[in-house]
Amino acid sequence: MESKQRQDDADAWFFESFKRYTNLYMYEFEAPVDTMELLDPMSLITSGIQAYSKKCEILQLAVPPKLLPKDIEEGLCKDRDFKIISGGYSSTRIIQVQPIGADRVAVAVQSDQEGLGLFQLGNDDHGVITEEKRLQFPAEQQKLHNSSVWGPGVLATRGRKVILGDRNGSYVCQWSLDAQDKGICHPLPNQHHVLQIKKIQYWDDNVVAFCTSKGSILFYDLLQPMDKPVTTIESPPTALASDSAVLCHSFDTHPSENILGLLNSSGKFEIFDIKKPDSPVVSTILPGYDHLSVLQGKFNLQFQKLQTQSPSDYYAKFIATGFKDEMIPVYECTKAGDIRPLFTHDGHTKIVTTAMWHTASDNLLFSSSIDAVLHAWQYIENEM
Amino acid sequence: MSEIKITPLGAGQDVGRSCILLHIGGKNIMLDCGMHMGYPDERKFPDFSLITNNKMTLTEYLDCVIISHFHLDHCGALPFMTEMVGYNGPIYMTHPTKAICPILLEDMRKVVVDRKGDREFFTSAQIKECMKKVVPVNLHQSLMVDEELEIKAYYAGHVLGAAMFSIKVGQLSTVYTGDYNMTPDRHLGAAWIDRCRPDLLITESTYATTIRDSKRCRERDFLKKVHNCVDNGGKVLIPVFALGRAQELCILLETYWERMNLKVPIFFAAGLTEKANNYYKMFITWTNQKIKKTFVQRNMFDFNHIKPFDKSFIDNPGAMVVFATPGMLHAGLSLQIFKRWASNENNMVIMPGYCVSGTVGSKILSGQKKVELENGHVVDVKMAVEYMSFSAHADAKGIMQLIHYCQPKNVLLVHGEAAKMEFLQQKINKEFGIQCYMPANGETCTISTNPDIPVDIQLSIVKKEQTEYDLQPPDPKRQRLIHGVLIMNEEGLKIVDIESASQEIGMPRHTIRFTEKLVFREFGAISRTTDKIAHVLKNKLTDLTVEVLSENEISISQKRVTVRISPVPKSETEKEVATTWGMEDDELGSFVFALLLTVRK
Repeated sequence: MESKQRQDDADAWFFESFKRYTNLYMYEFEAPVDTMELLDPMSLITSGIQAYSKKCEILQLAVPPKLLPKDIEEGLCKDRDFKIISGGYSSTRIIQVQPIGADRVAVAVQSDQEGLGLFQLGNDDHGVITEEKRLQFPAEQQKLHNSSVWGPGVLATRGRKVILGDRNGSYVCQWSLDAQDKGICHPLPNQHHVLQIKKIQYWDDNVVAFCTSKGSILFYDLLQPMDKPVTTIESPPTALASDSAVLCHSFDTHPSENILGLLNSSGKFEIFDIKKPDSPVVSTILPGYDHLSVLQGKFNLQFQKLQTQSPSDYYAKFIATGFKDEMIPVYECTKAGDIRPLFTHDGHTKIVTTAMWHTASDNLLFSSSIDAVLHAWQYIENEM
Repeated sequence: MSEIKITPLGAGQDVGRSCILLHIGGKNIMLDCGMHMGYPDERKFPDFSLITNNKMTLTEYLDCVIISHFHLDHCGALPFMTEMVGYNGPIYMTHPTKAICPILLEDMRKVVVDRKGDREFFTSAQIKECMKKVVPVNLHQSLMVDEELEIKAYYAGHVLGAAMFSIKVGQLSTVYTGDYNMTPDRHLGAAWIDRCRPDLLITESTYATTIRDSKRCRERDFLKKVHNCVDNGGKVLIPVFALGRAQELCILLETYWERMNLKVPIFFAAGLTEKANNYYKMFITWTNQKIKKTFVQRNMFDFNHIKPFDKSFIDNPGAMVVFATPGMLHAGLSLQIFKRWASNENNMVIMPGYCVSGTVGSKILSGQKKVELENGHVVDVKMAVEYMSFSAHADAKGIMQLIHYCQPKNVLLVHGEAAKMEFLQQKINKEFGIQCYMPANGETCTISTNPDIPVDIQLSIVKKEQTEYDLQPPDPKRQRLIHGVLIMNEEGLKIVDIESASQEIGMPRHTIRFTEKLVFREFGAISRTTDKIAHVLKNKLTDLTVEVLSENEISISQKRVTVRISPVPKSETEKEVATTWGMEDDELGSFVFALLLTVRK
């Protein structure tokens, strides 16, 4: 009887979804997806530990044509399935993947001693992803490096370059596919040794920004001496609900709008204008925020960054993930500083681990949960 | 004899047809005998002359034919093969397949002959003759085709009566899946197989590199489209194959109409499809648990909202939904309805499956707005054309699940994408540590196996070992050792103990003893030499008993090794020292001998 009730509830949710989503697709993977990144609007990469062999499989998937905007797809029978373009295995668990060059990905794996992995993706004629080579740390760095279950650090890529931020905050190391394999290491000033780097991004070709465990955002210019950051953004400390809670921080940048957003695990959300880094233009708490703790390593703030974005009357649309629940709220931050909830995706039945925006289709997101199901959902904004 | 050979008979890599030749343990079996719907010419049937190269008849060559389910790409060429090429051997399929196959074959025959005037096609009489050769099988029931060849059917889901077959000859076994589905749907269960560990698993892999959208989401889209259309007063035409997805969609619409309290009429074309529903009732045990349970109270195939259609309803005003055959709009009622409804843009046609090229269905799916029919009539297509794929096939995850269930030693994929072969081989190898093959059509793939050889063993030997093993302290790493004689005769192989073996063969037990001789130079009596040697041996062999048995004989460890000293004739000083041991004590014997060599020095 109970399962009939659950079936009916599930049916009811699906029938309701007609009004809430333009598109709603669900894919059962063989194993929960650990990492997921968009390579380009037409393909994405996932990795996960396989159920039978416990090995880490990496897959390059073609986004179902039916989800792509009209001018990209062709024909009347648009397929709604993911097609595996290529796949392969990594020797250890993959922590983070970033696309680099046109056909490769830089990969950070668990307990890595040497640096980063560079994997060659396949294509329609060649279906295997293979590890092409390792991007090694420069010799002096190898001695300092401690292998960790979280991997060597956090990654970001831009074009044919990849940068690694050391977890302990001692250095950042950049490799370029055009130069030799040796990375160039930039030690960071001493005071940051006590702070860990939580997330790193390229602001432009030469400037990187990263977020420390204290919640400050530091911008460094790789072409200039790295003895101090070119810009620092500090957010006033937050009073914690309890002493035992550890505050997690995440950030995202929107270079075309010249803004940066900060979120911490007590729900404080701020937007800074880069030209005026001293005080935030928005500082508020997310509406209805009630999470006491977040998932280590999964806490993330992500702005919507469409390839063709017209100027808007809001700062950004964004999502936040890494909470121990099954919902994904979508917000908009208006220029007046209000956080408007646009939508909440509640289709997952278990804890959500990753989510990301698509860069070409408006309102399209991918999300995955620990029950090995990946959702592709395109929402219709709530009527306010 | 320990090789399995597979040859897919086909033309091209497309979804066309299934017809696989299996050579196992000296037997030849044909798995499925499908027709390719896309070719109007001789390519539609497999080339059966390739099988024997005209050296012998199919009846002589094939031990049996197995058909997995009633889809025409798996059984469409059967009457052609049995009646026009000639085959009189047994054909195996499940009961529902046997009941439904002739209907689809007849249906197809009418279209091909009437439409194309193809006189090379088989006749109705031939279909009936062909079906007389069919032996129906039940699920999970072992059937001996002859003394050595055994087959067994397993539930495959996919469509009513679809089965996966296990084929065993002696120690070699193969499982052929046909089309199957690992997730249950509204009217059929999911495929199931036990851990039979076949030497080879042959599986369809059309979707091996696809991760399919869930059924729920497909249904959601289907219902959304239908609801939107009828809300606007439009008519929805759903061309279906007589059996299969039609039932699934009916159940889905009925559930939705009930829940949303909709009043728009839904119709199901009468005649053939009523018969189809009757077949479902007849084979209710082949459906899933839910339907079986509710069947007792209320027949799941009697719908509240779905009524039989009459041609006169075509022009009824207002919204309606109609399921009509055939599925590709190439003839019959569905084409008739299409012609009348196509010009209204409020209407919609939803194609629920694959359409062979050349049919009206495939033309409108490729976007044609003006379609020319058989009689030259041109239809303006203003109605919306939608495609919903509901086919229940196993995808990447499903194939891995099946391999995990039955644990084959090798996997062979048919109908897969050649470009992805390397990826699949690596994946199956990494996940399960087994080999994966993907032969091209017409290519023979040979799989070597390591068959097990069964050996009987005498109970007393096993018990003896058990007793000795239990006497020692428990140690999971200690090997279990059995000492015996392997006898091969017409009855087979067996291991017995030495006494039984010698009795059986009628030969007394022989023992082999080795003797090595040395010459010592020693003054004095023999006994002096004996004592000297015994002294050395006692010192060196501390954990063995060394006894002086007499003045010229020493025993080591209860006569396992003996040392005899005897005088050399015609010599005052020379003494011959002979060390003797049995074959089992070779190590000890050589050791003692080596010791004596050192003593001599």
